[in-house]
Amino acid sequence: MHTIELKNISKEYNGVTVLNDINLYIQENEFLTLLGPSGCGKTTTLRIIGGFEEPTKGTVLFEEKDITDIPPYKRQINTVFQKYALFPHLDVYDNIAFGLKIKKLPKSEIDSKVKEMLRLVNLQGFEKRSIDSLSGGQQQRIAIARALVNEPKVLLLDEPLGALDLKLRKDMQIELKNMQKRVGITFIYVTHDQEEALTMSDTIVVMDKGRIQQIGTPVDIYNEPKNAFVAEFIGESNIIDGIMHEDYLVEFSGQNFKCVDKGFRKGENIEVVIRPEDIEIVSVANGQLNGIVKSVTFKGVHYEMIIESKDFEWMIHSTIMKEVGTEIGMTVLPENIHIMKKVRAE
Amino acid sequence: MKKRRFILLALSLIIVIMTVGCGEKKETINVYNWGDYIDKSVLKDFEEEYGIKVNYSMYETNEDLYIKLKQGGSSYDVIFPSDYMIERMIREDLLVKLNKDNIPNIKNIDEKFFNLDFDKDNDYSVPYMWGTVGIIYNKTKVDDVVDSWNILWNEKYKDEIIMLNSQRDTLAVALKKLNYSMNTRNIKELEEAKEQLLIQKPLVYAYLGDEVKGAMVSGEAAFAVVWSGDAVAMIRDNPDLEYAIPKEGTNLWFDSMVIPKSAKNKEGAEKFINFMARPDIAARNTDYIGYSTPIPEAVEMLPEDIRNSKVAYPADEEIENTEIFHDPSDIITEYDRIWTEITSQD
Amino acid sequence: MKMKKVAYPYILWMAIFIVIPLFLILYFAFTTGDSQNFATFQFSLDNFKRFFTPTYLKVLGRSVNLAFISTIICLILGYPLAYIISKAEPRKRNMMVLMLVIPMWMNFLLRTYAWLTLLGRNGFINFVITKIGFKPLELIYNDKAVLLGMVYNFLPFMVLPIYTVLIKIEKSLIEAAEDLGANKIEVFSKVVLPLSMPGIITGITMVFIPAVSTFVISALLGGNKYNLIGNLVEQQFRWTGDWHFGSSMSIILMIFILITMALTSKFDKEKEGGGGGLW
Repeated sequence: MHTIELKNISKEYNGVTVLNDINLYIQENEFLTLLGPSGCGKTTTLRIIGGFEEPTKGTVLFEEKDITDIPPYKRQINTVFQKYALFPHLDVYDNIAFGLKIKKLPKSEIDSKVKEMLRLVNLQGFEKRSIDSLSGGQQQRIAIARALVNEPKVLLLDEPLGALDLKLRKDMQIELKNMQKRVGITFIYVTHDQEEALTMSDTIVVMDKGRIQQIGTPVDIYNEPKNAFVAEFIGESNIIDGIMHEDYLVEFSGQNFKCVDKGFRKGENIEVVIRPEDIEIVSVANGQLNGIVKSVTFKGVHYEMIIESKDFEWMIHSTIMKEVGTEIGMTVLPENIHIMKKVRAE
Repeated sequence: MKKRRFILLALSLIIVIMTVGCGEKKETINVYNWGDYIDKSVLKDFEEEYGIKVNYSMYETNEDLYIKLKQGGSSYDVIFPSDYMIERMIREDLLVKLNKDNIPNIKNIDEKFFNLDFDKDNDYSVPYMWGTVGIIYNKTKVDDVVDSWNILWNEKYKDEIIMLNSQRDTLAVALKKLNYSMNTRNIKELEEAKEQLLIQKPLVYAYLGDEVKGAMVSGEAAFAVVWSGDAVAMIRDNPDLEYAIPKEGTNLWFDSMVIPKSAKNKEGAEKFINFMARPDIAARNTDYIGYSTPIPEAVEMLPEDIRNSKVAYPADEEIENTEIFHDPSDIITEYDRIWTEITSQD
Repeated sequence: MKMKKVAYPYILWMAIFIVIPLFLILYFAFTTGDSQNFATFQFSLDNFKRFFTPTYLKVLGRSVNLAFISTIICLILGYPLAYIISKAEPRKRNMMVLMLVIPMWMNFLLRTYAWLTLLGRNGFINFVITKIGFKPLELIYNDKAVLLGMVYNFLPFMVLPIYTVLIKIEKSLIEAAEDLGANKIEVFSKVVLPLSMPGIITGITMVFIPAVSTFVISALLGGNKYNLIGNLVEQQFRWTGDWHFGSSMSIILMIFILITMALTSKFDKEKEGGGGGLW
């Protein structure tokens, strides 16, 4: 039984289609991320799951029950909002206890639950603090505590780390992932940061212009992008036109390469995707392709170099640095050559 | 050279014209009077006849006039205080003794209005208008005879009685009803009057100022206490109304013309006073504002209905037991307390 | 105290038009003598002694009572009104606020006079009522009319502050409350109402203060039968001429208002979740 299922969800605003026939199911204990650029519809999808928006068409199922018309306060789902939405007139304790008090739980029970939550988010002793005395990171953790204390079956998170600085964000990503494993519930996460998605998720749903572009694990999506959009959105890519001569053989840049994809028509025009970190720098003599280094940028983890070859500009990520103007050779392993169908009609 | 001479000539011409113009500045007098208390066209005639410009301004109550005078901000040449205020002003040495040689028209005033208590020998004042205070009633709403103040205490006319929003005038009504003097300084008598007014209060529709005129004309109440001049105007607008002077007696009042010590143009002031005492001028004023003139020749010039009106010109017997107000001086504190109790009683 | 040069004109203005007149009133209140002649002034507490007698205290009591009731009514009517306006879509909202505010562009006195033509015995309302066939109503020159006049005149001062605070409440807070299980009523009582407290406090202050010192409404609509402390002060200055007594009454009224403001601001602090930001 799927925890959440979206069936044929569409949403229109003033004649503009924001979501177009979304079909999706989400499992128990899954960390699922909706990933895409601004305006792709990921937040709208999340809000429809939470009950803050009504779909124009389609149904939302929760444990196989139709909850499309059920208001948020009746759903066993809790949300961590983008700007935390902590109640400024209540202190930390009352914020976290808010949902529990609504359920009219006995005070002793509320007390212990709140304390436990504060331990989980590592903010013990903060009960009496006022909201405006907390830092961004602390507020965010209180927001999470406030949602989780209600023991929902699903937690929705709407770009919760956006306002934090880089180091804190990276730490929180790991913390959130661990929290999800510990608490053992479904997390539905919205972000536009593909690195974040790759780090935290069990499943990624890539969205663009109101449609789902691809669903898969981080590894799948990264290594086997289904179309140009996904390929360009996730990680850096070199995308070049090519011809599939036959299974496992592709031609591009005037060369034939062995690859690991099959199932295309003979002579089909396709697109080849190669990740920058998959291109090896070799001597000109040993290279399958060669070119001249046009620019070098130090990125800390690696150097990003743009190589100009006769018909294409290649991007390479390497720890080896070659100076601008150097001629180099490039090779790539067959398993790192990905073939995509040419889909240019939008 | 020619240019410079021309400029000099032009300049000197301008200077001459300006000084000549300044020299031509008209003599002026500042007249300060009650609102709506003169036929303004007589001012134009005065200006033409005497070549003196009249700056005319208005006040609402004797007390406002008094304060204006004492504050000394502006100087007035002719003012029109009422009887008790003249008494106070004389006592405080605020007025100039009149040179009666400059006011020959003073002989036009009816003898019986000379040598009144507040200005024996008329050293300071020349009467302008006079009148009584009485009961105006709506014939269609009243079937009893109206000849006594007692009718205003008749339970039959609950909520049909309008009293004046004026401390002294309303207290005077109660005092006369008890056959006391309206100038009494006897606290016991004042307290009795207060009791009467407290008994009356549940029957009173409202304590009004100027609004009483509109209210009676539109038939909102059966009785009101008003000044005779207002009564004339009201009856003109609503023939169902009649005016009666109660047999217990009432207030006889005078507004007279006086010259303050701070006047800048005493001669012009006397000319003005003289002018106002001319029968034809007095007749125009009285006809316009409806109040009663103390100049018999002027009365002769009035239209027949007014001339014969008992409201405007009651017979001598009718005004036998009238009293003129004296300056209350220190007893005013008691008046204030009593009035407060009456108007704020539930 | 560091002060920007720009502040100097303002300081001057405050001194001339606020501080000096205030001191004048205090000076008058603590002296007796001929109001028009400074030379006769003598220090005295008589004015206050005179006020603290049943006659005058009763008037103060009634004024405060009436102002209090008016404020409560304005709150009961004003909050829902502000709420409804805040929930409308922005274009309609501005229209509604405009309609509420336009009467305030007209002179206060004229507006109160207008009620006379509506409420009078031969006024418009009675005209309609009698045409329908009912007996005319006594709508004017009673304490109900005074209350009506107060509420009518001061209602916008309650609605606007509350409205301003309500529209500033972030939508996400409402959604968060709903998300945590609060139904519409609970969202209101646990989130919206507490957050709109500052607006309520402002509204109460802005209604109570003019209400307690008004004299026009009780004179025009009450027929001078329910005179309030404002009427007494006017009486002293315009009729009796005892500016000392009038000033002392003004001072007493001012103290009253200051006490009220202190109380309401204390209430406001408590609601702020206990000394925020000191930890």
